[in-house]
Amino acid sequence: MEVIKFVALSLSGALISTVALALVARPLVPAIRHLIYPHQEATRSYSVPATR
Amino acid sequence: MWWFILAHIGLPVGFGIVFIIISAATGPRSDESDVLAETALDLTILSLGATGAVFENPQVARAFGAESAIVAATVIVVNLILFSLIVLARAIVVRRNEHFKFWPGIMVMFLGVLTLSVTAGTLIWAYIHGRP
Repeated sequence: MEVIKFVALSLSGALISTVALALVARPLVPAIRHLIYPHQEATRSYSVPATR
Repeated sequence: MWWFILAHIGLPVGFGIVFIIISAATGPRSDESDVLAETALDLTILSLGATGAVFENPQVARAFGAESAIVAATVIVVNLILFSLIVLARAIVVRRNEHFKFWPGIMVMFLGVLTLSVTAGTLIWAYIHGRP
């Protein structure tokens, strides 16, 4: 019983941390990009199909 | 309880923010979910490295006694299994020349955080339930 409670608490802690990190990453990553590459527009690197 | 919160939320969030900054600064073409996947890998490598130091702790050795080496090997195996799942997910995305979507990125991140929880949880278990 003790082990199950410990594992459940660990899993919920990991879940909370994951959500927190995802929320932090959302504004942090573009902010760092802007800091390092101020003149580069925020773009994704999806390759554009070369069809005309 | 405070130790538990520190180990399972404080450490992953703290180290995670550091790795997010490093990944975002060094990978100009990756978006947020890619950075999360990269961070998950870094957290796993950190956990594998920290496992050795955790089992050097005298309280951990006292808590698990003669089974200390077995517990250490089990923690490493669990971490390596989670590591292989993260690498597999990344390999699939890279092979397709795509980016991580939002939910796959979150799931991979959860696996990375879980590796740190396994290692930190072992330490917390030894301190809370260990033999005096």
